[in-house]
Amino acid sequence: MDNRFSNILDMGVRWMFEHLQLSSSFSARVLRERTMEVGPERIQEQYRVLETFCRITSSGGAWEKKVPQLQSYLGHLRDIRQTLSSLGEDRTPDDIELFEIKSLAMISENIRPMLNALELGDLHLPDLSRVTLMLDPEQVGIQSFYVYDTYDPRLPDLRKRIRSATDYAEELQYQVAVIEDSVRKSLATDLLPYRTALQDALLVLAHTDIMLAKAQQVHQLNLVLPALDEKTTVLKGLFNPEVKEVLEAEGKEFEPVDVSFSLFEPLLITGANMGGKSLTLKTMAMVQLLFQFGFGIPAQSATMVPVQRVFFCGGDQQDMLKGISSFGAEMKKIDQALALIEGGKKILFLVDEPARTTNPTEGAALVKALLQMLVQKNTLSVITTHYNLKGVHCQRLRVKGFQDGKMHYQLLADTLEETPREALRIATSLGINPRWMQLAANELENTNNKTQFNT
Amino acid sequence: MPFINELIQYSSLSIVGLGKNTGKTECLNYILAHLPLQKLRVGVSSAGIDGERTDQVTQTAKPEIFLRQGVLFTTSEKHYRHRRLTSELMHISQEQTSLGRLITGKVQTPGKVLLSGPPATASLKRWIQFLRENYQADLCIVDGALSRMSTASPAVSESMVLTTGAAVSVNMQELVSKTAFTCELIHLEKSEYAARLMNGANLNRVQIIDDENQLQATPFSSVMQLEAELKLLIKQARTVYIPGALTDRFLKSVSSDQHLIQTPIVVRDFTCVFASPMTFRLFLKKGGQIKVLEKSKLIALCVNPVSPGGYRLDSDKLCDELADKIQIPVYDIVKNG
Repeated sequence: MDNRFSNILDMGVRWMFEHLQLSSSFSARVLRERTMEVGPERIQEQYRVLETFCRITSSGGAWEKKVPQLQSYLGHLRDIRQTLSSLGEDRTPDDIELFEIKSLAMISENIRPMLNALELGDLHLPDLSRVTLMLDPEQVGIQSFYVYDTYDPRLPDLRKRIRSATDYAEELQYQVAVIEDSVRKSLATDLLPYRTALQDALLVLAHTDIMLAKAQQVHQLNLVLPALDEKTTVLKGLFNPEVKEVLEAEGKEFEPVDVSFSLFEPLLITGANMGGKSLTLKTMAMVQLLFQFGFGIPAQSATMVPVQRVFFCGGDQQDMLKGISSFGAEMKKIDQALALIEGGKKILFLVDEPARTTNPTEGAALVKALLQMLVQKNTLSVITTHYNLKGVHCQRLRVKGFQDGKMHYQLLADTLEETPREALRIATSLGINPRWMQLAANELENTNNKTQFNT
Repeated sequence: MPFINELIQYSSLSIVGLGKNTGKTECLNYILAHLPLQKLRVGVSSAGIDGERTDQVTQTAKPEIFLRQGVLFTTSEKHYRHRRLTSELMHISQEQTSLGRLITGKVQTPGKVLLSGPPATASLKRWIQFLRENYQADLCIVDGALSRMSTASPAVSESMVLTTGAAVSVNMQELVSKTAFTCELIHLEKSEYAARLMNGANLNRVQIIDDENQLQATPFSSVMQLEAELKLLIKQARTVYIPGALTDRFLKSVSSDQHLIQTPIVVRDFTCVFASPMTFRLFLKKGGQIKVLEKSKLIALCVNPVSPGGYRLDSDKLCDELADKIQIPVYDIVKNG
């Protein structure tokens, strides 16, 4: 699996993609075909452009009123890459292809003055006025095409005769068809020098559409543009827009989370069941991908470190078809990531409760050892766990947890090395069989007494 | 000029054949040749893949559509490339058909073209709207698919012309009776509750107007299982709207109940009636009523007395017998056009 946008949609990005108001389905295709940016300069450049788009499309901005017009132009954008690449290949384009080229040139010419005035580096449209003139010789300015009378002096008379014929003028029609074809052929020759410019324009327009949509998403979902850092990712007020929307529809509120972590020092998140650890971890994976694809970030503020790959390992990895248990599948996945890390790749490594399905003694040992493996590695790693781990060198955060009869999802700095025991309280609050809960509480008390006695 | 003057009072028209080789294309060509184009902007397309040069089933020649200057037409990419006329390409739709995207052109010099247009009822409806909004088309003509009456649904077009002929049956009595039955369905009366039922909650559910004149939506999505609860609802109703097809089975079970048959039945339009002539007429004889939500205007019936095998029915006699039965104008266009 490479870092293509279409491959990362399942990592929580799909919702953001589906809520992107692109004007043309071609732009959506261009976005899906993109690969993740890993270089800080490229990411920085993307955000510089997005920042400009956000500024000019915000209320009072220079483009505020022009957006609907722009989107209506961009809505006519079609994927004509095939047409353009076959231009000049010893074949004559037909009216459909010439119409498509004319349409592209006209869209581009309409948008060019506005876009080029922004001086956004790569996002610059070439001059296609000659192409428009070639395909609109009567300068009607309408997006339609046929072999106009002006192309060949013989056409007006022949066509007049066809129109005045009482019956279908087969012979005349044939003569016209031959002339029309030679006109198309010479148009193709004339258009050839503009092929690269047309190809550039097509992509620049798609990217303009994408930038406009991203900027609108920033406004609509209250997203922020992140700052870049070489070492530490700091996310303040991080939220998951998809879950937020679901909760708000139910009249509930999403509790944003603050989280920060650095290279060389893994972050361990502990906390109660249902404390949103997995969601936070998933959101972190999503946010990193959004960052490297240049989207607005769902947080109050964000500083982020670019990585070469995002590695998320969580949920049930069981693959029955391959005959591997959930434990086995998880181990293999982690192993892949470790191989990357040991090979010197800078990745974001997110693992949700590793070794949860095995016995607590070995499980705890595995997690502790994993943390040790990650220390001093040029990688960002975040691990959640239930296990009590002592004496590990890592940064710790704890879910605030169940307080005042309510779950709090915020993450707090954790100095204790003891995992809070909230499982019974949470289960009880869910109304689980009271006798079972009582027996479990008794059992817990016995164990505690024994431990105390032993020490 | 028979029926052309009536035709131009409507904004959409579909031409449907009761069977293959009933002269549908001749009928369309006749209409296109006689419409007053100087007064009227006309758009034409076809429902699905139609308009092959030869009939795919019987391998007999099928006439192409001849278009005059100024007519807007929509056809597939494949057939647009093969057109034998000069036309200005106006629009390429994003909608895909089996023959490529749909292209809309405007005829610059008259000539011939094969039409293959939007494949489904919903996309035909969108096409008509598109032409009206973007090119101010006054009349949109749909060359309906053969033996697919749904393309003539009033949900698509306001008016229709039906073609029939010896290809349906060379037995004149059978031909007349089959044709008359279809006309009878097209002429089904519009329900007095049509507007209220149309605006009702859900046209995919059985709806009733109860004895207190209130519109009620029921949880039933079909009448395949005529449950006791539904029977009770229908018995107490002033009228009942049935989603989807009206089948023999349902009509028979209603016919056998002297209380149920009292309630007039409403279906979406005539294309939803799938009952056999026998059951349908028996139901009406017993006092049952069938009405529709939407009705299209049947403007004329065109007949082709020649069968693909070459058998020829007496044109005058056929026209007379049909006109006698269905009370709308009947034309033999090939003979009189």
